[in-house]
Amino acid sequence: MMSAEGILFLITLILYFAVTVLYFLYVAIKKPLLSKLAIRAHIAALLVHTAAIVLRGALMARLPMSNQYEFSTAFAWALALVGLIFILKFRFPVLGAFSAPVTLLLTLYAGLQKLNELKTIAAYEAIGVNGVDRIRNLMPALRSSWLGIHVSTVIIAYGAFGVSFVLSIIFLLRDRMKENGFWDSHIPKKEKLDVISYRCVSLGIMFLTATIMIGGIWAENAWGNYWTWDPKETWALITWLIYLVYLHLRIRRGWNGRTAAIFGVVGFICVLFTYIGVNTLLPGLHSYK
Amino acid sequence: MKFAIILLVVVAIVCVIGSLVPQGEQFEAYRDSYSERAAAFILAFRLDDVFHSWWFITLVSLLCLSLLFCNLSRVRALIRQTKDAARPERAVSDTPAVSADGVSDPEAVMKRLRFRNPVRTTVDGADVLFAYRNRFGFWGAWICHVGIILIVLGYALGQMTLFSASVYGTPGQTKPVEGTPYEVTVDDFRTVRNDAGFIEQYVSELTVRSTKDGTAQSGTASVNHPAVLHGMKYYQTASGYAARVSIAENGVPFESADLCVGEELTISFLPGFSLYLDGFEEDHNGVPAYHVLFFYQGQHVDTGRNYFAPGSGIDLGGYTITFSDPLEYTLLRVKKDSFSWLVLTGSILTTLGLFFALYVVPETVWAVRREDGTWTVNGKSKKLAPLFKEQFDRAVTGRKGKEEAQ
Ligand code: HEM
Repeated sequence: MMSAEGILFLITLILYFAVTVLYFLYVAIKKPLLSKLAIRAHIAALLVHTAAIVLRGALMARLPMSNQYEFSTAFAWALALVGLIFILKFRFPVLGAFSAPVTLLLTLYAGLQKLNELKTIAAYEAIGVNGVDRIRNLMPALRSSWLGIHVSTVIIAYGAFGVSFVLSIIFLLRDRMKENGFWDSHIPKKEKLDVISYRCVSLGIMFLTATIMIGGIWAENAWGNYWTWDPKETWALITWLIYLVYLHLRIRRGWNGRTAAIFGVVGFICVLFTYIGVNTLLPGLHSYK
Repeated sequence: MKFAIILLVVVAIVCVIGSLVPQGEQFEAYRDSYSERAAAFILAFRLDDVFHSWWFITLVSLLCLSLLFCNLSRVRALIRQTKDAARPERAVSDTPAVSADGVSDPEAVMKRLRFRNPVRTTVDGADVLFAYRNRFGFWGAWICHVGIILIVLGYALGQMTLFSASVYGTPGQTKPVEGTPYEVTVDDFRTVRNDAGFIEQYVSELTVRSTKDGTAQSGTASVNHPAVLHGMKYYQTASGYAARVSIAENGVPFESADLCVGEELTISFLPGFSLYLDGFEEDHNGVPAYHVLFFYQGQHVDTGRNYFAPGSGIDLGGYTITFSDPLEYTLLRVKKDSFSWLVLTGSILTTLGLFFALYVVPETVWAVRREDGTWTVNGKSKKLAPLFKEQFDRAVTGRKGKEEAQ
């Protein structure tokens, strides 16, 4: 049986699919009405998603960002939010056609995590154990308000990096767009795209820095080490370094935005690796996340 | 700058290597997962312990040195920039990034750009209206770089002078903190559970006494809340089961001790003989039991029995050794890092510096009156030029509304 939270999550997933289709239709048919519709649907999806997350928090009686499913759905939420803010702030609905599919993919990934969780709960119920209780109750080390701040800051960082990834891709594709066509008039010039992406990376790196620092404070309180070169930490550092290179590249005299855009793409690949790859791809390495 | 970028990329690559090659393994392990030559290569270049290798330390030192020299060489320029930012005569001789002629009300333009209280002055006989903001944003990168230097310095000094030890204990036990003149008494240890039976917290009540002068301090250590006693931090890291080991001769008890899992007990009346409590787990029949290993002069000896349900025991040379009363013990980590405050200060400066560098953007606007009575309004922004230009153009035309894609 599906909980109310599960149903809301499913509706969110369907809505993100609709949002993606609408943005695609907008760039295909090029009718302004479609962009308005897509943005409305985007807002609606985000609201339902927010409700799903709030309900999850109520159900778990804690901040709903403490396991794989909760974190992945929050990541998708942050990407949808930062995407929407940038679409509205820069009147740039074409951005939606690139960011919505990434949001949809992340939400699908969250859906897979949700299925795993439902299986785990069912397995517990089969042996007469309350499975939801198992998921609700965290081990003592995770019962810390530092954890709450740590994951809240990281999802904002990841959301911002997701949008900067999309902007970097648009930047790299910009040269191929015909002058005076739809794309040319609906996508900012490269110079401006670069600055918008820079705003996005700035937001991300601020929050990633805060995340790493707060993680250190928490680890120091819980385990007595603020840094242990655990793979998760190492990869967070790699991601951070890549975005620092991005920042420094932009200051260089005579730099070209292309190199920075490439780092914007590589940075997000690092984000995904830190987030998913470290847990699944690095063989035999133990990670506490 | 090129050097900085190269260094940052190299450090990132080294981190990738350090995360892909399992750290801290022996030659055989690398040989089995890769090849003989690869294993030799890994050990020769310390790829088995990248983050503590001499060359990684050299690399990070180089990064810090370059940060230091970059910062030192920029101080004077930054002071000048900061001062100049407040000087209308400097602005007037500057090349503007944006400019508009024939403006009748420059004050309104500045107001629309949210520059408050522009100053009126004259430069070279011309009327000038001048405003600036966020000039301390010039220092953001500088502060950020100082923060990084402090973090690396604090981490390095901390690691060099780190004191770290572990102490086990059941309630009532007093144990020495190895390598210090202190001993710690576990006054109490409890596991706090919630209504559903899940463990919420492990709590140790501790008293730490100096063996030199007898002064004592008491405190509570729980997960996420270490106790600070006599300047050292006590972390609640784990817990487990301990056994009460009682020894009797011909049925008459004469000695007993609490032994934690992972501890060894030497038996005074059987010289050279010791027992090691390996765990409290289920035996072959699924019954919870102590797993005990026996040693004679460091060699494992087979006594024919290793599992002991609580209350049971073994006869050895006329003595009966009984294992009873499963007790929960606490495992504490004791640590003293005298430089963590430096790392914390560095972290705060780095984050603050980043905020200043990225969000506090120095901007200047100045207007010069022409002979025909109209003004030329100019502007300059340290970064975000295209966005600043848009805002500026809108402010000049007085057009309201949001930004557009172009
Ligand atoms: C080899 C090491 C490094 C060197 C030589 C270096 C050098 C520089 C220089 C010359 C600038 C330009 C300053 C300005 O425009 O005001 C700069 C900017 C900056 N640096 Fe570094 N840097 C290094 C490493 C780092 C690291 C590790 C950080 C970590 C946080 C960092 C953070 C920044 C920031 C935030 C900016 C401003 C970026 C912006 O305005 O967009 N730098 N760096």
